[in-house]
Amino acid sequence: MGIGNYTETDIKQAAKVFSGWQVSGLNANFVASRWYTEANVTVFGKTAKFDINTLVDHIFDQKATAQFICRKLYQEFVYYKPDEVFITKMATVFRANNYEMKPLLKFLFTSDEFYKVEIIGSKIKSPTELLVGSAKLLQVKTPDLNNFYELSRTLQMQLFQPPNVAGWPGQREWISSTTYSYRGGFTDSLLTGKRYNGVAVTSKLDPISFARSFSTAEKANEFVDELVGLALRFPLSDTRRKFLLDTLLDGTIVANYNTFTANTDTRINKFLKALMRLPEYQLC
Amino acid sequence: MKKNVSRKQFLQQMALISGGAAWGMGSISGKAFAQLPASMASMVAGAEQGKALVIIQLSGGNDGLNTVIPAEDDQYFVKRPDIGIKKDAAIPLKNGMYLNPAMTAIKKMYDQGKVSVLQNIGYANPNRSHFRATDIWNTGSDANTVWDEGWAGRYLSLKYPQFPMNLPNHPMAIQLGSVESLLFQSDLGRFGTVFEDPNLFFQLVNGSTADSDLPPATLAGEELGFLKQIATSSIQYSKVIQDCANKGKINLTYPSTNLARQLQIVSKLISGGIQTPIFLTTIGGFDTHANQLTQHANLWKTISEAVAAFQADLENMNLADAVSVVTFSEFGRRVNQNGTLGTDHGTAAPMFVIGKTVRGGLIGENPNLKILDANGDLKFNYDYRQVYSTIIRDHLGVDAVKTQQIFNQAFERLPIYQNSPEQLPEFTSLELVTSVPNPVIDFALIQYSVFEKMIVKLAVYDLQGQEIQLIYQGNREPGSYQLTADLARISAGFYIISLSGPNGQRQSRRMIKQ
Repeated sequence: MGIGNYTETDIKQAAKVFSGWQVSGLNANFVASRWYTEANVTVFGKTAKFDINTLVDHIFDQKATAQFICRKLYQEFVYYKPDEVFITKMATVFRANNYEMKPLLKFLFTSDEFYKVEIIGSKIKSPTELLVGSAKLLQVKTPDLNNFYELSRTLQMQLFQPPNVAGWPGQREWISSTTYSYRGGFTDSLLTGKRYNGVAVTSKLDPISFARSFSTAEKANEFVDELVGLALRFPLSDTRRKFLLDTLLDGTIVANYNTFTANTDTRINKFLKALMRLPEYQLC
Repeated sequence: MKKNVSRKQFLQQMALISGGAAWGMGSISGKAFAQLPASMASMVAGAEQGKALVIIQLSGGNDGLNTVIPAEDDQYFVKRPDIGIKKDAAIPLKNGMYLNPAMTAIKKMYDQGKVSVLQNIGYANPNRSHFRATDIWNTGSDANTVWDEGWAGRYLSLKYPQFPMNLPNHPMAIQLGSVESLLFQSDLGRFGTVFEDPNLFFQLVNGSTADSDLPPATLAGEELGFLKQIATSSIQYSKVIQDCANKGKINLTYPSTNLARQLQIVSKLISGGIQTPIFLTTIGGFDTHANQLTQHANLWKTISEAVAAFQADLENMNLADAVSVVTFSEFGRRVNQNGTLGTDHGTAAPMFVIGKTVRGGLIGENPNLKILDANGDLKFNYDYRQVYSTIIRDHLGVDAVKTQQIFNQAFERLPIYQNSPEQLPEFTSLELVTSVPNPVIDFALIQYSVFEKMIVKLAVYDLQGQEIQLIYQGNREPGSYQLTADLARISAGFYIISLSGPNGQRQSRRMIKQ
């Protein structure tokens, strides 16, 4: 429900209602003799002899509950700073549909809010989005899962192991000078076939065949545009685009560029490295 | 119509718009990041050159009562029958207080006058959530105020008024670890450079690029600006950090613990000439809800031995006068033991300030185990911001007015350092901070602080006690004040400048008039 929407007393009273429930393997057993003996308890201002079902219903009757879940969805899919006015609209939809997720998500994904131009590309990729997204971008056939696992830990997102009960705070909290740099080290490893510490990984990009999987492979300008379109959600400035093109050309000119010239593999690798080392690449 | 447009199509639209005037580079006037408030641009960096503060964060909530132990207090054993540490096992300090048996290395430094133990540090209406309490300690706020800037971030924004337009040559703050602490964050950006190992950091940064192009004025552009700032400072500082680490000396063997490794890196960087004023190191595992005795003792053994090695290392290199270590934890633990031979989240706890320049000793009254708060937990004697204010002023050399700005409130200092006020604060309620220049020719800049509302009088007296010139008299709310006095009319000679209150409180300084 979010801090501020309940008191310590609410928690203590609600905990009594759950007394008598025990975990046994994958089962929950109720031992009636251990249930609370008070005539009633008061939770969120309502006094009753709650049982587990009526208490859960009572929690879901609180407006803050719907608001809390909708705020999380908004922050995940729209923008990390919540817009409470819109979240209230979401919460109304959510409650009207008896907490069904599908109508809520439909409302969110078809709303103008979701398509606001100025928030597109504003999300900082989570480590999982970065790891999986980069592997998909480069069409990695045999990802080095040990490398991925270790990096996910280094980048502070070991799946199913959030740092504490509050979960991953996300967005800017993913980024410090060290995690930012490790992100670059990871994307490099997909190209070089080596981790930052020199240890080989199971996959190494073949830059020529990767480039030739695009119809634009032989046209430097178009190839840059296509890869930028695939890799970046944030609109790239003209100067950055030119920087990427210059990195790909690496001294040659557009007219002379093709994948059959010597050293083009190095050029493509340099280009991809620069592309994935752009700060823009961390946004989605 | 919009509902059928894909994100990618939107992106293409964005790209088109970006080229035009609405989002283009030319439409925004030159300032990529938040502007410096005018009031801050005029401030001069206050810190003394070369001083460094090393913070050790004890994550999880350190059990203060089993760290600095009231082992002669019967109440302690009543409340902790199974986990109380008996005085025969503990290390005696004084006044009936004892250290955890694992802290022999700290006791050795204590005996040399290098450890100030501050008792019962906390704040009003303490919070027991790890997250919120950590935020409170990092931001320097009251329990009921939410700030999103770290106190160190605010200190650093005073010290480096050009940030983020211009980055100084050396990192402004260093954190050993991964996730940047709120401590170093500010509205202007992030001051911290965070890494685990200097050489690895340099290697990882190598290849990153950051351009000075202005991000577009969108919400997404703000995030890009943020990433660019991190990229820029990483690129700028990874080389300095590697250079200083390589230049730094290795003088002695540190214990093979993670905290010792962090402190060894700090020592190497300082000996290699790094000019960073604040370092943050972390040790976790203090959330001792169950079977805490061995675990808690091991943690303090680790800290004691790591800090002792660090201190010896600095002393060997003659750098110890410049460096001070402080420990903090988000809360202490409950007075009563719980049902699983551990302790739950509590309130006030001791802090340690360690270094060659501290006054040393046990500061403040012993924890009172009889007069507890409504939840049966310890009441705090001193506010944690009194500790930070003392460190900022007496170690980092920031003046009273700026220190007050950092916390938005004046806090009376504690007798932590040799240059800190000698008495515990209950004896003073005003402070005459400085009068400069001295000798004075015509105008003097005078700073003073008032800690409770009162009528103050600031005046110049001759050596016979005769009032020569009244500078200010009037009612003052608690706070730090600064004024310029025209002393041109006074004839040359020796004088006393004095700040006094209605009940005989008085602080005086000698002043020479040229």
